[in-house]
Amino acid sequence: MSRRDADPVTQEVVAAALRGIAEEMSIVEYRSSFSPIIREMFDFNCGLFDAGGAMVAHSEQIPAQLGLMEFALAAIRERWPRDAIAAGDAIVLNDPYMGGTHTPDLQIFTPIFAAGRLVGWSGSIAHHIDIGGRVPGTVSAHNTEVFQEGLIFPGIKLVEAGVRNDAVFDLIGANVRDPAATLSDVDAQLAACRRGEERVRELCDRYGPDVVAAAAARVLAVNAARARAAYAEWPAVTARAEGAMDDGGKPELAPAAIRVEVRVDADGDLAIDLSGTDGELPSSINVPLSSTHAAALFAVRCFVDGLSQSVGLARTMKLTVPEGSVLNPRRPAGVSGRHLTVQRLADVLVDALSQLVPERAIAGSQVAFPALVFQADDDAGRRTLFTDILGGGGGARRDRDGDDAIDTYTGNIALLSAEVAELEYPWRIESTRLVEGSGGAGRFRGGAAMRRDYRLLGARAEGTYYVEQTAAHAVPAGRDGGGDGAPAAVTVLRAGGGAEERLPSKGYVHLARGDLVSFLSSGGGGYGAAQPRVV
Amino acid sequence: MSPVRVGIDVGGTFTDGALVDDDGRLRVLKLPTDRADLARGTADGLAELADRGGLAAASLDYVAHGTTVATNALVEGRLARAALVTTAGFGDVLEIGTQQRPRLYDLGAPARRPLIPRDRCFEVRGRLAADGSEATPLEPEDVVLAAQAMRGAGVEAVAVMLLFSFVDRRHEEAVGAILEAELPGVPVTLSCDVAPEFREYHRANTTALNAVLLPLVGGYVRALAAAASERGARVPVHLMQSNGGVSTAGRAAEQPVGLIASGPAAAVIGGARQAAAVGEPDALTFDMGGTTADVAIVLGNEPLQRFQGEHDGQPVNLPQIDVLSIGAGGGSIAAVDDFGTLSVGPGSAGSDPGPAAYGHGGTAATVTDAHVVTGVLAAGRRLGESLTIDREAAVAAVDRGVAVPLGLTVEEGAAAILRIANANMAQALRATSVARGHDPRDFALVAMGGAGPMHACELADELAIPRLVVPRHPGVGAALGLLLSDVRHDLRQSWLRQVAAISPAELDAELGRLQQRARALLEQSGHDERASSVSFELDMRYAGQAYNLTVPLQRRPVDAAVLAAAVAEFERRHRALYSYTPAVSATEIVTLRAHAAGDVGSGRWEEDGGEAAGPGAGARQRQVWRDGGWHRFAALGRDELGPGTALAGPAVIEQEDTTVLLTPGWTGTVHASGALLLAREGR
Repeated sequence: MSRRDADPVTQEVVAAALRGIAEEMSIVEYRSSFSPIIREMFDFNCGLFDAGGAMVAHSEQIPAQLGLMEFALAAIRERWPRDAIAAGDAIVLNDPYMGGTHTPDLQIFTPIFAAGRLVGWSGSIAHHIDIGGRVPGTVSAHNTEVFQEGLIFPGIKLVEAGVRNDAVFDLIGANVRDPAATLSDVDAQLAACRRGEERVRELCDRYGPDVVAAAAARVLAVNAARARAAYAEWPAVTARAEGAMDDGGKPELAPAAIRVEVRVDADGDLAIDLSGTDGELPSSINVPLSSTHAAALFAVRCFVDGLSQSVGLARTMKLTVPEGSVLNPRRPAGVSGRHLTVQRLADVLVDALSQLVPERAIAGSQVAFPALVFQADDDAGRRTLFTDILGGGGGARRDRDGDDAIDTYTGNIALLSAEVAELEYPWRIESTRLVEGSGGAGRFRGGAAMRRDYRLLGARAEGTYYVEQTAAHAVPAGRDGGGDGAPAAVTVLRAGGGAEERLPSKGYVHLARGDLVSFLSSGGGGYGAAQPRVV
Repeated sequence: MSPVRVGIDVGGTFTDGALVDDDGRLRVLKLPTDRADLARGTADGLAELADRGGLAAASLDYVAHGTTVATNALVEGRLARAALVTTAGFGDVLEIGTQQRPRLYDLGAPARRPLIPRDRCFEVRGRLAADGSEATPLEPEDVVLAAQAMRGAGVEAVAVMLLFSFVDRRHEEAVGAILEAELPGVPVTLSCDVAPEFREYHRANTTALNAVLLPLVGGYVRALAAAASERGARVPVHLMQSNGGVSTAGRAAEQPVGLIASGPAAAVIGGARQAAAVGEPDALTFDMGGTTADVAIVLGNEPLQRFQGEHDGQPVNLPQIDVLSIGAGGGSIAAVDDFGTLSVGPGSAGSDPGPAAYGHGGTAATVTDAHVVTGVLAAGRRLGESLTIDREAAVAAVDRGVAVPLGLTVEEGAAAILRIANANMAQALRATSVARGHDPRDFALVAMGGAGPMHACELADELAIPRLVVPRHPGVGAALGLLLSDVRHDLRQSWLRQVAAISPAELDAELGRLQQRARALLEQSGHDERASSVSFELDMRYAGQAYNLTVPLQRRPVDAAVLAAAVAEFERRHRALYSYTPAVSATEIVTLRAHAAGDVGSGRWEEDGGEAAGPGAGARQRQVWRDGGWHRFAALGRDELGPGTALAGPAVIEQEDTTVLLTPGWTGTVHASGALLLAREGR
């Protein structure tokens, strides 16, 4: 390759190719996966990393899974020094205390060799519907230790120099509730990583590994420069925000609060100080450090224009997260219910950033995240794991109403089709409606909440569910005089008779044929004081 | 005497026409579109075409028409005041959608805009279970009350989507009958007719889109028939559908949602048929115009279809040619940001003001300007009737917009624009192939559109594509496609079953019902069994997957061997696509498909083509900037290239509707059809 090929234009061409490869990996993954949570809800991501472990390109699925794989890869690179890594290896990690998120998120990495040298890594993270543990679906806000949360993979070789480590696959199969789907999904992740490897090798063959590395470095540098240029326009003040959970993951625990201070520091970086946040909890709504970073990346990216991706953004953010807090817990605190707190963290950060960038200010959105994982046998004796997640109201903006019924912030999960629910599971969804009046009042109203009613058609079912923002102090906040959104709730109407019964916000429930469970999400906050309308 | 046949494609800016006269000779035509009155403009175009062929409009025997009338109505929001009737509990189905945000990092993004607002969505009691049995009887009174409210609200069309109507039509049909009695003259669209597949939101939205388009498209079809008749053309017009087949205007007016991608589909058919004529059954059609590049995959002479699409943010579940539209065209604007990053598109100078080189006041550097600066488009060259290439304006635009900010010479700046544009297109093309399980290297590239043939060699190099086809008239591909299309109807039926639990006879009976419906549609266009065919496909998946693969079914009647062959084909394709066979081995059928094709005698003509000229035509030369310097390229005129002429890059070939760039390493010949067949040396 001539020197001319390392010019900025070539680098831009190579950078576009890297983004394309990450996208191609994700296509390979979702098209061949089995669990609805990957194939329909897109709860996964793929990424490419340079030889030093920095993410240089990623696919664009849900933000909650984005920008955190660097942490796991760092742990893997520490555990497996360069001379212990061979072409054809695949390494799996999900340990929340080694850079992982929660245990159902398996991260798989494969090294990329070109011209005999390690040029980078290909990686995939995917949420598996069950990885074993105390409850079906693994996730329960009531877990108190990570040991209740299924298999833990501390960065071990799933495939060694191209040879599958059958013992690991057997172990997974013996420990999870839907082994066929889980093992197939692991294969889908491996196929995605292999595709990334292959494509990056082709790119290196064509342009040379040095040009590819230079292109990747340039993307990181340009994105970081763009972010700093945006921060430079923001006022030199400290924005403060806080928000609390319903409780501490269990009703008897005091509401956990997140407190943040955000300012542009003397280096032109964004200092995000979460020191005021409450301590870790004996429940599972603690957030592993990598997920805390993912929430911050999401929030900041919403306020910075022109980024090609999230890569490089982390270099411009200085996060202070005290060890032992709910956002940086210590082993063995439970973390499976972390997403509730991640959404609340995103809400608090968006509040703080709205103060710094008022033209983009937005009222509070739903972080209730009503979710259920119910296990039921259908009348043919087939065991099914049924899962669904409900969107809620988006916050109102300075110039328009909030969005009705959306999956907010770091989520972007599709609602399960009622027809799919009844075709494939012993459940009937009786209604799915917007909740009138649930959005906070204001000059612009908050988005409406949603209510969905599920009737059990099978003989029996049991499982976990959780929902936030059921307490008055935790509802989506109005902004600039706008009203708060309406709270979320879970209820059950037993077929055997009786009135509709309110359930605790997080729990484990047993149901019988004909029972009707209802989830209600929260409405978004309003913006600006409501004014009398001129007819 | 052969029948006089016309294809007329009306796009946003240009109307393309092609006519095969009674001697079998082809004439093509490009006119500006009459945007003020599309029906009048189309009828005028028909008359003009006939006139150019020295014929009266009354002598036209067959007219096929591609139209953007449905697409424009959607994009411009000129939609009917429609109502929706749903199963009780699901009146918000359009409002809620999938609950996903279109732009993840844009908290201020505008909200979804349902096709039918909430106050015109009505719920009726009555529900079918997933197996089609009646869980709750239908309440006719609810429908009557809804109809009364609709009357008060001035509703112009109604969509009906009840749960599980794809399993059993009876509730939807009953609702439809009541509405028609209560609201005479108001068209009613049933979801079981338009989109009989599971997933209520996508079915509801497709049905709603059909309803909101019905009055407008119906009006257009009637106006066109009247205008054409006034000019003496009395033959019925066939309309191009998104699936790449034509249907009678009457049928198209009943299912306007099927017209949503009419224009791009016609061009793909044109590319596919012309590739087939030169012995390329597997092709990527690449149609690059002023604002977009449309790409489609052709496999075994047939364009790949997809069963869901999105148009202007609205999901549409309807079989349609799988066209990928990339925001890259001749008018795509190149810009350098504060951080020294060059981007090309998706912003476009469009046709007004257009590229700087058009001299109509455009100052932004565009892809076309880069072609001018690098000498591919010659200074002073006339494009169409009103444009002359202004090289100085192009140089100034590229210099100011790209070269100076990047510290490059103007030629280097122009070359950079073309590299980025090609890289973007290659990326999109690769992703689209992979997502459909194909490798671009296995295809020939068919270059169409005004800009396609200028990019084809370099795009093919980028993707390691070995062969190129440049049809004789790349600029009117859609009009030619219309002449080459058959009548086509696609029917499907959701039919979720595990293969192990299916009896072949049961499957065959279900397919028989589809075949009957297909035959009925073919009869509407006057096609009996001799002039038509019906083929079948199955959407299959492993139990638990959500993404299907579609495999052909060999024949009816279905027996165990036919079913086993389909399963084997599914397994083979899955393995080829994803490199593994899952631990789950149960296979399922998801959807049954029938394709009805009616022959309309499409497809032969003679070219006016030039003489079999020798390579002496290459005596003229042109300086073209490539690889960091000016190089001598042969300058040829397409009209001079008769069949059999040998070609070798570097060369620039000019013709009325485009310019073909042959870079070094590409050689080939002129085919008898006038198409250029090119191959990359050493591949």
